[in-house]
Amino acid sequence: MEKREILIIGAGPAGLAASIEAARTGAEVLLVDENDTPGGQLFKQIHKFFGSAKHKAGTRGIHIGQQLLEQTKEAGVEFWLNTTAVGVVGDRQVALVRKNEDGISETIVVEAEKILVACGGAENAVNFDGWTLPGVMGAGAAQTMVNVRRVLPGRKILMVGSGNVGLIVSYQLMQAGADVVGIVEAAPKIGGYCVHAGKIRRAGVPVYLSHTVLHADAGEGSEEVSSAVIVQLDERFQPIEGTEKRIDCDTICIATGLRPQIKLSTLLGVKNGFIPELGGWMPIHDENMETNVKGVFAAGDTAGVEEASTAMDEGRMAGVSMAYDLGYLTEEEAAERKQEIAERLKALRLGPFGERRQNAKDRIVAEGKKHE
Amino acid sequence: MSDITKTGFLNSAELREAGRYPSEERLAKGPTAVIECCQNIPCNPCETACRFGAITVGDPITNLPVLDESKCVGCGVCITKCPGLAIFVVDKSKDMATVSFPFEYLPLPEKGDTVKAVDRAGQYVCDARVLRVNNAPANDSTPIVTIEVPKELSDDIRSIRRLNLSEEDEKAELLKIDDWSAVPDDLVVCRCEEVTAGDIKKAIAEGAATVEGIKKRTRAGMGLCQGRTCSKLVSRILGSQTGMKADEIKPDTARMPIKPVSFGVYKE
Amino acid sequence: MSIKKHPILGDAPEVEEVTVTLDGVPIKVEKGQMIAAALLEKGIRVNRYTHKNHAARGIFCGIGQCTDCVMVVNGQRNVRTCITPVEDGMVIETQNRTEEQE
Repeated sequence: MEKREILIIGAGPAGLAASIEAARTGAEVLLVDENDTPGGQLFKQIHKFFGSAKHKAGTRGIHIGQQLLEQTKEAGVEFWLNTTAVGVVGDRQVALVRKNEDGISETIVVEAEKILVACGGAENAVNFDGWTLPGVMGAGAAQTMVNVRRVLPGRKILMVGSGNVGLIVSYQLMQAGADVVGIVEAAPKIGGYCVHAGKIRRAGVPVYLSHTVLHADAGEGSEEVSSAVIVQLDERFQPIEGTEKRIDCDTICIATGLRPQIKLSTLLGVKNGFIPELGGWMPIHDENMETNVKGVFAAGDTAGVEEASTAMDEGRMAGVSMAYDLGYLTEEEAAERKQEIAERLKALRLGPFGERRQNAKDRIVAEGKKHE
Repeated sequence: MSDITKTGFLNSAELREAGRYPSEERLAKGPTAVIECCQNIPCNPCETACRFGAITVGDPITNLPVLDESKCVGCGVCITKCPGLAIFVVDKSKDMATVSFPFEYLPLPEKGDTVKAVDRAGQYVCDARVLRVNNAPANDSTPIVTIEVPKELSDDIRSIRRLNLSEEDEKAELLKIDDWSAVPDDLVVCRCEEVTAGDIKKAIAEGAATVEGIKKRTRAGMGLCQGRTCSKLVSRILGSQTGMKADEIKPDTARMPIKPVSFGVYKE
Repeated sequence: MSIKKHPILGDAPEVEEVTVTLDGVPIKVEKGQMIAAALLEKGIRVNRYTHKNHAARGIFCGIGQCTDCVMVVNGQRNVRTCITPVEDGMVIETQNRTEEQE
């Protein structure tokens, strides 16, 4: 068994930011990630981020990711890549499976005084007839293929879902050279920011509001998707017979939201609250990102699905809190830093889109406080 | 006014009506930024990008940007800084108008090319000549394309057709077909164990009242991925069959190993 | 279909090729590429067949969560190919290609 002061699971925007904040104070930080490269989903984000200068707005996600990686090096964060957290074996003891350079996996248990669970979200699915055909995939998969692996998943893409993920991935698929033949949205309105919608509308992509995919079909003699039939929905989201239309497409992407990955935090004893606006069941936590289990923290999409920019600041908040709890920051230093981060987070949760998330966050924090 | 959440954009008449379009007098004097940001999102790089202080967002940063058209010189720096790519520059000072817009696609058009100008809905408006393509390093990979168009069309033209699209792509049309079928009971819900909607409904009818109970009866969520893809779908079926609310349906129990590992590793 | 030119990411760097076999057929793929992406680049989108219905499956989540893209790699079953990089000489097989295999 290995011992560390701080163990962070997940090297995405939240985990990276947390590790930097904590390691800078002198705390001993081990950051693990199951992938062979750090960054989580940040390196898929090739668009410029919203926010203010303090949030690095106007900078592309990939470049923010590169800056974070440099900062982890400067701060002296210990990295274990190819390392998957598979469970919990005792009080604040996490079982990790680590693959060595020679490809051999071994189980290592790490006991830490503070644990941050920052393992992100999982994509929700919708299941229509034919959704198991090769060529039907999560929007995140398509985004990984074009922006990280530099491979086109197909030429003619049908996107299901008009939230920010559906809109952004549609745009990025076109940037990679594919065509998006349409966006299908069950709700009667576009879910994401209209500036994102504006980009894909200018590119000539139709948005089928109040529509759903009835079924996806493989071509004659093929095992892969080659077309889809969409259908209009009434106000009660029931299909209207006689409104079916066939769309030729070789790929269907599903972008119907994400939910927090709560398995690891649940095994650590963390209680969950239900907040639909942030993806459903999620670990309850206070404004320091600490859960009902003392010493166990959650941040980023694991602590409620939002955006990469909020994930980074939640990570920073957790990093500062852990460092302070371990005695690496004075009360004054910690208070000042926390205040700064809290203000940035608040700014990101303003406006008609942000307010909903702020209210949702307030609810989960209120629940978290009950357990303190 | 049309509902922006249905179209994804406001047209020039609607922008004018909302007081968010530069005046005709200003446009007639020379290039001017047209800021088509219409939702209160927390974002202000346009404000900090403008060296002339022509754009104000202020506090809170969810305010819509306001253009001081007397200060704007139409330099277009804000075009590349707007993460929403919602800023354009229009110039109606000469016989033909020019429209500058961000264009992050390949191939890029070249100066002198004739391209197809499109409106905010991507619909073809007219052919247009490319005057400039600015892809300076400071743009951070957001090239600005400037095209020449008739004045009366310059308020509606906002981009060009992507150059990698074939004629065939443009002609693609949806066929109305008669292909009705209700969602079948053999619709797969759990992809790993190939458990169907029918299996799950049957388990619920037989008394399963939790995601965990359905898992035990049907194996839905017991496969390699441990319910990562299907658990929410199973919750939804449970809700629709029993009338239980989403917050009454608990997530399935977490068990080790939460990620697939080979037996050799796990036995330790 | 690999993306050689990209408006944001720039030109793809030249990458060394390695040879793997897919169901006994040697193919050249980019070194360091994930197995599933390398196959997708060659237009191969079927990674496995299911146990019960012998239905074709391919990439679904692309980040190692859903296990739909699992294949037999160097004799080991259930390898998540979207997060496993190719190596020279790797023996890759479509999982459950023939129903008898089960």
